[in-house]
Amino acid sequence: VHDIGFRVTRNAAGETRFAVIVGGGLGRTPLVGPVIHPELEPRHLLTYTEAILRAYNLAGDRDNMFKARIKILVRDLGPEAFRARVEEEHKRILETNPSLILGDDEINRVKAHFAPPAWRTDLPDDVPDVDDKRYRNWLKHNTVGHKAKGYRVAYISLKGKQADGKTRPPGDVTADEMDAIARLADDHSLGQIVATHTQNLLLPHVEARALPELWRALDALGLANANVGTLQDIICCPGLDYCNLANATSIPIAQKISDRFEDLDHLYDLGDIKLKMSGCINSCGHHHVGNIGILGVDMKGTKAYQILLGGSEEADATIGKWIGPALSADDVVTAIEKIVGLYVEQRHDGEERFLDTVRRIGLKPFAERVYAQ
Amino acid sequence: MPSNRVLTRDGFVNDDAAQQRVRLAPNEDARTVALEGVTLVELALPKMNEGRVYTQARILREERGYKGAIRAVGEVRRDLLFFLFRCGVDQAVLKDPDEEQDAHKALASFSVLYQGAADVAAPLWKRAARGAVH
Repeated sequence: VHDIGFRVTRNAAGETRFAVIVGGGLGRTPLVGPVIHPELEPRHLLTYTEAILRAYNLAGDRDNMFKARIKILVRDLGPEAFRARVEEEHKRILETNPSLILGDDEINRVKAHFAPPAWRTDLPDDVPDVDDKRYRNWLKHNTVGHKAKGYRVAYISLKGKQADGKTRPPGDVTADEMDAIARLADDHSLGQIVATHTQNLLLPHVEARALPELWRALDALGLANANVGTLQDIICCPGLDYCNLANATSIPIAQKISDRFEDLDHLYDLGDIKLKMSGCINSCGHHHVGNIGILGVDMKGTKAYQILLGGSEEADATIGKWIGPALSADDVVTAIEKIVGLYVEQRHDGEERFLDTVRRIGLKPFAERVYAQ
Repeated sequence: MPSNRVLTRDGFVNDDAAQQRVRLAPNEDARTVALEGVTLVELALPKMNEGRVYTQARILREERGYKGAIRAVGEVRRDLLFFLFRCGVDQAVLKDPDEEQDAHKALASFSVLYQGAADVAAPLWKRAARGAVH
């Protein structure tokens, strides 16, 4: 769903290659881009990118601002014809500007900037237990394995309730909280904090033996809600509260959904559900690729919300589909409840993921449930 | 009224009517245009957000090996000059004569060139690796 995407892969000989995906995008024309090169050599990353841009720049539709996009050109020409143009431009660029070819020297020079930090090698592998269900939940849902022995990766959830009991706008963090997080990163994560596209933070290098201490510190700050990957882990744009482009508020809706699904055991039972929300068609909240997507619209002065189901941002990227007419702010929260209710009834063996159930039974049963009188 | 003053890297000159000129619209192909005897190619910008002129200029310089003058005309604003000149344009007639005064500053917007283009072919990292910049 990007203009240009590179996915790292390996060829049959085990060498690093890049699958090149072009012409995806969200907004008013959501498209999943096709692969136009399955195994690009690393040394051609720049020349091939230049070839894509040149092919687009020469042929892109300039007469309509909304159509002056790579995705529109790729869609109109078809992937094969676009690929042929890119290959043609690439051949020329390799002849006319070979200085853009990346040599091993340059690749290694850049690689050196991404050298792993100096992990300790004397750490015990086991993760300490604390006799507290909240810690165990946090460990299970907010931490993941690390490649180095004795370390784990810990998410800092910016979703759910804050320390003061109010519901946090998804992804918000105050200056005081950030100061505290920075200190924790210094103490427990080799000074590193990573911001994630899911609007959370993560500490990439936490010593497993320090996890109880880290959890207590995060918990005191209201930053240890064990809801990563659950329905409460909503991605949400700023919406009308802050944004000039928005048609509808989005943060208050996300907060209402978050409040409606507060019971952790219920959230864990629902499993992996990605909910993404945007307050206008520009799609900053990536609603098209949410398992559940919500789009805020302005209908003659009234804010209303459309619901999409079945989107995915993973390797099997899929654009979600509308289930029906837009709903009022109050009804949209109830609709989400009905949708997950139907999922719980319909899922196979109690194990099937939400997305897989939607794919299996289709949108119709969900629409019938939501719009039933 | 657009003036006839032509910006070059060395300051303004007057248009020379004796030039053998050809004008390219954005949808015309720089790869096939006849260049024999031509000393001035004019690239027309009907709108300031017209992107194809940059590619046309690079094709003329890098693929065709054209050494004569390339002049941007039409909706040429001061903000565009730096990028036009990087792509091989070496003359421009500004749409608004009021912008002529500071035009030379626009050509020096950035002191370090990161990307390779028609003026400096190698990107910064390649020049740095050769010891050409520090």
